[in-house]
Amino acid sequence: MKSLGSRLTVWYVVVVMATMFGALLFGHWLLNREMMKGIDLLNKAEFQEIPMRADAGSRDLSQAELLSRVAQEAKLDAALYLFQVRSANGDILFRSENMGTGVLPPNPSGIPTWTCNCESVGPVRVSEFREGPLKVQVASPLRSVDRLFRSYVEVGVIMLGMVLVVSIFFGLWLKRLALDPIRRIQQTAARISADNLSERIPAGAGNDEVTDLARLLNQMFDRLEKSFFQLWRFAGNASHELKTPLSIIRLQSEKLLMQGSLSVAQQESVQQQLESIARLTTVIEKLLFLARSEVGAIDLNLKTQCAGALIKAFSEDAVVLCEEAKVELVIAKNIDTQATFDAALLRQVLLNLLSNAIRFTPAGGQITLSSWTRENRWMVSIEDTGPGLPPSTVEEVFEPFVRVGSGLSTASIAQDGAGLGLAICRSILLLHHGEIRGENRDPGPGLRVIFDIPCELAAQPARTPAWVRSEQYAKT
Amino acid sequence: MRILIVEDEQKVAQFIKRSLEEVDYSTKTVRTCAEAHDALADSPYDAIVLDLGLPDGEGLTVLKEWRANGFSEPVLILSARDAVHDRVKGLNLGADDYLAKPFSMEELLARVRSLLRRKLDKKATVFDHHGIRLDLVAHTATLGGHPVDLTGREFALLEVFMQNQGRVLTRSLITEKIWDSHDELDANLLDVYMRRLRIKLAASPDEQVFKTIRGVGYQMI
Repeated sequence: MKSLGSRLTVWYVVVVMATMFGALLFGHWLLNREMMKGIDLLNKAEFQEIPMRADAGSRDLSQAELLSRVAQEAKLDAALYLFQVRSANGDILFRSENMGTGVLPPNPSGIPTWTCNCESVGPVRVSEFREGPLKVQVASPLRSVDRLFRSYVEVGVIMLGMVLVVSIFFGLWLKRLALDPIRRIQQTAARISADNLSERIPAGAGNDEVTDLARLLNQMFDRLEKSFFQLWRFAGNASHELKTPLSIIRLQSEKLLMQGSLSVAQQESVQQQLESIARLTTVIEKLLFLARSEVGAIDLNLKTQCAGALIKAFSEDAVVLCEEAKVELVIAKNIDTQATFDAALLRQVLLNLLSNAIRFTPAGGQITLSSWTRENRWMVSIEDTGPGLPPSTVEEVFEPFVRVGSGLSTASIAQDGAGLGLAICRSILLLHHGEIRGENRDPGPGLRVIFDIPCELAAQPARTPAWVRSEQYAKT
Repeated sequence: MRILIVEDEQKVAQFIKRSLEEVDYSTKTVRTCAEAHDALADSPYDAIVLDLGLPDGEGLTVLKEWRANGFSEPVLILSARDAVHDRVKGLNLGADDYLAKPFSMEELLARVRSLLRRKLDKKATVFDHHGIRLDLVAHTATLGGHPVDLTGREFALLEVFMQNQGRVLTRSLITEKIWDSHDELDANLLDVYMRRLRIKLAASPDEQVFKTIRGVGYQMI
């Protein structure tokens, strides 16, 4: 049994059933004891009636007289009692007729009352009394007692069944009561990721163990969130601090180049230097964007506009890029729908995805762009006929600094912008409360990247806690 | 033409000053918001180059103040910050143009020139250069009298070059004018369009209209 919940339920049911069973057993024992005591009393009273029938005063009865009185008594109470008289050496002197062929075994010595089995009568309760040298046994058949205990067991079994059902029910209820707060913690904790570190587990006002746990976890998330934001702020400030010295390097190099007094080899070096500065600037710019978007410092220029128009405008450039790469571009569908988004940013997403697709599609391949709506979300997919991705890396490629396909030449890595392109796509979509994911085409080969955003995007809720926004993030 | 340079980074300020003076603008450099206030109170300027992060305050705050006080001369913002984001903010607050660090001096000159020109004259609508004729009103382009079929983007690209004949145009300046953002640089979209434009506008295979300046941009000869 794996889950704590089911174990809790089973244990509860087992304990309840064991307790109930024990109580029934104890009740059985107690009832039996009381019944036997009562029968023993009755047997004794019956025995005492025997001499009283003759004359109460005389105790010295002859053996024959006693036997005849016992026989008389046996006849009178034949329906209720069995009588048997043994001599001192154990011979049976008298047996009441209602015993049939049965014989009452002698009581074990020192035990005046016991229960034994009498042939042809069944279980009987036997009391043995001494009358001079004779042993008189008075026995009551236990037929009616047996019936009583049979009904007791029947009722007991029915009750056990009912208690089983009820205890399972209460066990489940108990499990819910005990584990629901934990499940809530579990669900919230699972939801909390780098993208919504500001979410917290709802902790009640109570003072119990679970609430304490929730509070502790929340404190941990606070610390986690803080260090996460510090990390991004560091990245943001660092990339920003790099730009001014970079300006000076660039201006110096440019000046050298424009003065025109350099040899061809020198010109080449300076040009390479300028190209590297441009590449570095692009990386810094992207890092800065990611950093700002992670700490919620990007203001979207949201407008409700036609999604189809964006795709159409984009495809104008997309066709040119695809033609250049000798790849066919197919706009499979482009639904005219209204959506709320920042057109410049979504255009950047489309361009990043298209550049990626082009890079991995061999000449003569095909790239398919589709745009449609589902459940009030605007969906866009870009498919290529490239090699696709190993399944293990399909998720990873949206993380910063993960490059699609590690065996690429440095030239294409430079174009890729150090593996930040897809991470930027993801952060733009997160800003739009959207999602992006990649999957290998089936049948392949090829990669399909799908993103979607809600058609109606309400005013942007704060993604970051107040303390982050209140601090001046970028100091120029 | 007098230009005020508000920049706290000494080296950057010197570069700008020297370059602007080389093309016969007179300049003054100041390092703080307070100094900028005093300089403006002292004498009039035709344009301002304004860095956003100053030791004693925010460039944007100063700009807002100036605009509120009726200062209407063109302002070019220089910033080391997030290109897209601050650009929108700066332009909203009354800046006329925006340049992100690290910038190219050619680009700064081009932008200053265009700001001052905007102030002075009306734009031409017909351009002639090397047998290429571009009519902005009729939206036609001809090469040696024969019409050239250009797409919308190609036409816009040619227009930018025709307006800046002989000048080096940086990649970011061109993409900003055509696509209104810098992101297209990633996809090499500009190079692709330049290649197409060259093919369409080449009078003969040996004669090139556009010159590539590696690491900087393009120039229409």
